[in-house]
Amino acid sequence: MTDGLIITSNRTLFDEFNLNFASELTNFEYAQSLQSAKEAQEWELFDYLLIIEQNATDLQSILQNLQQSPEFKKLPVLCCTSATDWTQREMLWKTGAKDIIYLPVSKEEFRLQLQSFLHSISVVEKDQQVMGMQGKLEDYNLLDLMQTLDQNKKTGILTMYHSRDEGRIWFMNGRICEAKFRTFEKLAAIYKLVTWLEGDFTISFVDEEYEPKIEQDNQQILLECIQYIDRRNKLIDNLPDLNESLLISPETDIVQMESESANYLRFFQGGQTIAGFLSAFDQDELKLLEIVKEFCDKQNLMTRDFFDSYRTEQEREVEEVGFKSVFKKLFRGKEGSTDKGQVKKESPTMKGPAVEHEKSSIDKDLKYDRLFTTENVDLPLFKEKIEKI
Amino acid sequence: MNILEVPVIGSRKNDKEKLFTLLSDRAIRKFEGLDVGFLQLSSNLGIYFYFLNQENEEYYYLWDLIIPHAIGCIVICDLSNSEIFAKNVKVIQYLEQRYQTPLHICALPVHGLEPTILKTKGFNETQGREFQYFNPKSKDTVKKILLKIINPV
Repeated sequence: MTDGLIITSNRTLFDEFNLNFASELTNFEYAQSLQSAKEAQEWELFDYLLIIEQNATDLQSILQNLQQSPEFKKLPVLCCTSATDWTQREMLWKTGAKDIIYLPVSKEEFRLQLQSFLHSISVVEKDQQVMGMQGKLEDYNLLDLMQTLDQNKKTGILTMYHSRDEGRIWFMNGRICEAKFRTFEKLAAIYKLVTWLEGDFTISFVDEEYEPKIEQDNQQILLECIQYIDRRNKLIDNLPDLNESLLISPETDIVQMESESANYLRFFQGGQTIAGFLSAFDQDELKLLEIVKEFCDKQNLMTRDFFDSYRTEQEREVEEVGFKSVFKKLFRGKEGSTDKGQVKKESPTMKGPAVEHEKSSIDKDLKYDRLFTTENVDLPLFKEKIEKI
Repeated sequence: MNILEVPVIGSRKNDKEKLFTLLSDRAIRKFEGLDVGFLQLSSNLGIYFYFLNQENEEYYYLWDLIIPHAIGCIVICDLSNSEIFAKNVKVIQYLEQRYQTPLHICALPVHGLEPTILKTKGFNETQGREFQYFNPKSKDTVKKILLKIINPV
């Protein structure tokens, strides 16, 4: 499976391509411009670029910019254009197009041309790989792999797969030169990848030179990774299971919270796991775990079991405070001491002078003063809540 | 828990319970002589609505237990039915004579429109007596009524 980034200003064209040609061979992502392509490349590592631009001059300009961009320089580029003039097409070839498809073209032919292109780049990739290896992260995690590659002074690219995520680390003579995972900084990307204990990895040993972009040497990185894992494990030990669903406490008033904390907390609305939380934000896991810990300590977050028992307890309290017990007394009192004949009642339809209600007998039996009190009731708060209904 | 109590008095035949059901999905609990709805505004804030039928004279003794402590008492007036309205008037006089609780006299729509003749029907807007409009199809009118009940305090 390859990942292709389609660059075209026409979104409809992308949708059409995606609908017709995305298959088990390739996925497509969309970029409206070169700038958005660079942003997309920060999130995902693409295997090739597909540029759809009818105007050959514009297409050539995009290609030239791509050649100057370190992110895209080495990616094979497939161009789709309606240029019929050989001079223009020649310029495209010379500017770095790996292949050109002339528009218009039938769907069937385009599919075959695309397959041929994908085959050619996979063959080139294979040719470029002097040798490689692959395995499971359950058997060899990043720490093991880093040490092996360091000891053997290997040069190549380590690609790690975890769930739907993918990260890469570049080695030069065993030294870690570069790391990439989503939008993380280089070291932060390594810290993230080192926590992956499940998934797959592949190593491509290639005959290329990489410029070191990380200052620390391997020993420093290894040490920092170990310390990082240690701190992470300590934090996790004090938290609920990473895969357990957590809910926001009914007592928590998100509106009153600082906006940053509120944004983090809102993620858990309806129930989410800590693992999902860590995956949702491109930030240092230690910082995120500290945030979750603070939420848990303050009981802003609670497990589903605790949430359910909390709610039940709250409802029970309301029932106790409320009318249930009071009315039980009320009606027991009525049955025991009063009936229609005994209690003289005054009503607006009664004729004659008003008769004082014999409420003393009721009070005596019920020991009833009042259900609730309006003293010390926070009326402005009531007003605020009613206005929000 | 901060609780307010609001008795709602009206005819058995009118839609006084809508005052609650427009704001809450909770069921109204049925008791002998009165129905109760609890509107939970937050974990520690709620309003109990006590629905009392003006026809149930044998349960008027319950009114003594409820109305004196309420923040305001709602009386639903139905001007489209002369029999019910005549009873409304008697109930209002009874309430004013017996309790100090502010009355909120809420008129139901007549032919789907807000009635404007309530005052000419024999009511004067005196101290402790508020005239309001209650449309059983409009949540806004309910909110206005509740806000009015809370505001004067």
